[in-house]
Amino acid sequence: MAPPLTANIQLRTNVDFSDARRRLRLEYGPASPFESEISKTLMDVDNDLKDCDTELNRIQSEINRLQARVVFLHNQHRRLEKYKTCLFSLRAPIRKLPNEIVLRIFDHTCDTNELTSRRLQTMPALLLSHVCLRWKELASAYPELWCRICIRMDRLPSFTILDFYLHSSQQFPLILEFPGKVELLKPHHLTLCATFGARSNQWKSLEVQSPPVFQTLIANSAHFSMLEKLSLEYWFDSSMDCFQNASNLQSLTVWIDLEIFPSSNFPWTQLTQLVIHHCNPRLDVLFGICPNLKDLTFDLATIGRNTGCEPTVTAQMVERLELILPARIMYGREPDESLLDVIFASITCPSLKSLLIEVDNGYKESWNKDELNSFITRSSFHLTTLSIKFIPLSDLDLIDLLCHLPSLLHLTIRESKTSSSQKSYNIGSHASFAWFPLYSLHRNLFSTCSKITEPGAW
Amino acid sequence: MVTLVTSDNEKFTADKEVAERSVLIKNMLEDVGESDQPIPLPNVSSSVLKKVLEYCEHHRGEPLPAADADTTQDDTRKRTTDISEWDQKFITVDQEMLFEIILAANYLDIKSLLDVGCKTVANMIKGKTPEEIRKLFNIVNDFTPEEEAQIKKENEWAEDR
Repeated sequence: MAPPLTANIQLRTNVDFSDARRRLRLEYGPASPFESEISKTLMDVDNDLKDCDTELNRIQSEINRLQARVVFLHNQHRRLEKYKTCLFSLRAPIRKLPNEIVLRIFDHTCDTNELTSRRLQTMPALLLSHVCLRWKELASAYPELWCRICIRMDRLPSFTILDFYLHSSQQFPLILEFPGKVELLKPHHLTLCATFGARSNQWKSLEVQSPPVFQTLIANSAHFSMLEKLSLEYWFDSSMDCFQNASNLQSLTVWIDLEIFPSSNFPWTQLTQLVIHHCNPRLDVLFGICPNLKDLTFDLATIGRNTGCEPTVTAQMVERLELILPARIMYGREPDESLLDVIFASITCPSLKSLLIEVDNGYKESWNKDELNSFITRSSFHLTTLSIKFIPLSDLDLIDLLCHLPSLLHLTIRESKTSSSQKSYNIGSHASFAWFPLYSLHRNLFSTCSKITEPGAW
Repeated sequence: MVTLVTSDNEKFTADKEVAERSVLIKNMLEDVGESDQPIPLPNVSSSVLKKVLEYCEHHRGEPLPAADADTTQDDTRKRTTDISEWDQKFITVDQEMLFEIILAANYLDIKSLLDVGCKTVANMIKGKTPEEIRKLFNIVNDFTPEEEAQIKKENEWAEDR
C-alpha cells in the first residue's frame, strides 16, 4: 500500500519570527551574545530543512506515481470507450444488411456525381467510399456508381477527380450530363470534350446544354454503340447524322422544327421515346418519321406558326403522352386555339396508358372538355394513369373526365404551385369511390368529395 | 386466409391477396396447393411481420413489379428517391426496425417495400459528410493510418472534406 500523501514531519526548530525580529532590532554591537545558541538553532534548522526536502521528495515521487496512474487510467478509459464503440458498431443494425442490399442503397444514393462543385457531398460514390473499409470495397467494386457523371461546363473541374471516376467506372456505360451554358470554349472545355469524346463507345446517356460543347464532343467522337439516350438543348441539324450507326439509340430530347425538317440519316425509326422542346405539331410528319414512338413528351418553350394537322394522325404505339406547356408562348405567333386542344384534336392514341398534362402558373386557357372527351372516345384507350397539374379545372369537369376513364388506376391532381404539396386520399374511406378501381389518388383541395354521393351521378 | 408463423412463434392470419404480395409466400402457397398449413417465417419476428403486413394491406391490389424488373429497368432515367407520403409515414421507425423491415422485405421478396426501405436509407445518407454518416449509423472509422492519409490526399481539392 502506498504511504499517505500527508506530510509527516516533526520540526526541531521553534520557528519564532517575532522573537527573531525583536532580536534583530535590539541585539547588535561587539557584545552581541548567544553565538553558541544561534549556531545550535542553525544546525536544527539545517536538519529540519533536510527532513523537509526528504519528505518533499517522497511526496513528489508519490505525485509522479499517481500522475502516471491517472494518465494510465485515462488511456485505459479511452481504450475502453473505443472498444465499446467498436462493440456497439459490431452490433449496429446496418451491419446486418448483406452486400447486395447495401449496394442497392448505394445505387439509390448515387443518382449522379457532380464533379465540379468542389464538395464531397455532391459526389456520392466518392463520399460512400470514405466511410469505412467495407463501404470503400463495395463502392470500388461497383463501377455503375462511378459512371453517372455530371460536369457543369460553367465551372472548372478537378481533373484528378475526373480521372479517378473514369478509372473507377472501368469500361462500364457512362451516363453523362453537361449542364451549364458556355458560348466560347476554353482550353479545359476542349480537354474535357477530348477526354469524353475518346470514350464515346461507352456513352449510354448523354445530356448537353451548350451547343458548342455538343459540337466539340461529337467532333472528338467516333462510335456510339452503347448510346441509348440523347438529350440536347440544341436544334436538330444534319450534324446529328453522326449518330446514324448508334444502333441502341431509343430516346431523344431535342429542339426540332418539323416544318423545315432536314433530310437526315439520323436513326429516327429506332426511337421509342421523344421529348420535343419546340412544337410545331405537324404530328403527321412526326409519326411518319418516328413510327415506333411509345413515349412522347412535348416540353414546350416555343411554338411554331402552324398548328395541328388534318385529318388526325394515329399514333399506334404511343403508351405515354406528356404535355408540359408554357403559360405564354415565348416567341412565335400566339396560337388561335389552346395548344392542348390542338394536340388533342390532332392525334388518336389507341395504346395510351398514361396522360400527363402540366402548365406553368398563370395559364389562362379554359379547359375544353369537349376536345379531350373527343380524343378519349376516338382513341378508345385503357388509360391507367392521369396527372393534371396547374390547370384551372373545376370539380365538375374533373368528374366528367373521370366518367370517361373507367380503367384509371392512378390519378394525380395539383391545382397550384403555391398551394401546399400534393395530398394523398385513401379512396377506400370514401364510400362513393368504392366502385371506382383507383389504386391511388393525389389531390390538393379536393373539395368535391362530399358532393359526390351516388356513383350513378358520374 | 393464410396463417403465418413468426420466428418468435406468433401466428398471424392475413388475406391471401395481402400475403401474396410476398413472392416467397406466393411461391410457397403455390407449392403446397390448397392447404390450411401455417407457413413458417423463421427469419421474421412478430413485430416486423406486423409492420410488413400493414404495408401489404395498404398496397393490396396494386400491380406487382415484374420478376425481372431490376434487370429491365431503364437505368438512363434519373434515379429518384421519392417516397409516397403514406410510405414515408409508414417507414418512420427507429433504425433497428428500419433495417429489420429491409431484411424482411428482402427475405419475403417484396420488391416495393425493399425499395422504400433502401430509398429511406439513401435519403438519410444524402448530403452528409463521412463523419456524419458514421455517427448516424454507428459505423467505426476502420481505415488504417495509411488509408486515412490516402483519403485525405484524395480530398485535398474538396472544400467540405
